[in-house]
Amino acid sequence: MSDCLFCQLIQKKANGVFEDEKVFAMVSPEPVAPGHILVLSKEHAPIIESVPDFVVGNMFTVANKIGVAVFEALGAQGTNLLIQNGPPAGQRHNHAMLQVIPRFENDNLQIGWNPRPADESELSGLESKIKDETKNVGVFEKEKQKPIEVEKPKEITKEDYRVKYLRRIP
Amino acid sequence: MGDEEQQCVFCQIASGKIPAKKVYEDDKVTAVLDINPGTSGHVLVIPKQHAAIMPQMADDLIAHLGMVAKQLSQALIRALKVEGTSIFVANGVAAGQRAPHFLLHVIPRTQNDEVALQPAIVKVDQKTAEAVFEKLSVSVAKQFGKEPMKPKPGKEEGKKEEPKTEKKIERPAEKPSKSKLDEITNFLTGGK
Repeated sequence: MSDCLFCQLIQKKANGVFEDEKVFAMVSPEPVAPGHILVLSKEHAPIIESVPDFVVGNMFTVANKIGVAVFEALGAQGTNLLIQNGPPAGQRHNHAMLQVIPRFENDNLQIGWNPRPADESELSGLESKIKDETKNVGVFEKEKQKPIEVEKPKEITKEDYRVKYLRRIP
Repeated sequence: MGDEEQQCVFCQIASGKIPAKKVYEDDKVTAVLDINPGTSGHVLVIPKQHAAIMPQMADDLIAHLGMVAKQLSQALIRALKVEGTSIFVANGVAAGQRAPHFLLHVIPRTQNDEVALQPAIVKVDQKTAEAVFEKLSVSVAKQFGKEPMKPKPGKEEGKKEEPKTEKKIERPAEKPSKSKLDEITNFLTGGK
């Protein structure tokens, strides 16, 4: 931990608006708009791939509820949820996060892309390539149940009062 | 299936009635290649049950979508040898939503591609930041049926000792009111 800025912020509970056992949500120290919120895994994970599946699921449900709060508290007209996964996607810190961005008409945020039509053969090629890698999608890592501790029966020594005097019986 | 669903292109793609390049499917979602991609390999994760925006969906479906998105992102990075992905949701027209059916985008990313999903950091003055934090922390806590994480320092110091009433603590996480959702849905559908 220690040298990760966001691990430090989580520990200080800086700007915190929500936390549970696995997830911490804070108002962004680097806002792209007022009310920009970051949903973070409490445990350090540099990219989203290194966050356990069930925590990612939890991050999304938390982000959704925060999104509703953003609609209500700020009167936002929309929200974006965004994971910038890797530097080409704009990831700036090595702590995985899911962002909730409040949106308003004409807010001039640079968010979007120019869709361009793809041709059939290009799509077919991509489909088979990608399908090869999606065979294990849908098998999710679940939170490990804490082992139930069964108390071991104590060994009964010769000095135990329950047996100590038994020997005397002829 | 209601009228809305019958007319919804994405419901029909999700159920397989309209053919699409499917890269993943389970009982809750279908993931297909976007025919108008931002980059090559742009995947849409479509919930089978019709919903316009995320706040209309159940928690377990939202969690499922998130987990599928994470794994599809990994699959895209491996299959296409890209250096990253954007996992993106737009709720509402103001947020860039185009379809009247909720979609989650997983977009393969490379340096210097033409996708703009890294908005610039802006300066928010302290007064605005504090006011926004105050409003949000109360509203977020309400969503989870909790007390705000910490009272604003200073101002509410005197009130700190005020005994918390049971009623306040036990307030259940409210679902967004129907009227609020209708209002948001109207943003999407143009009030149909």
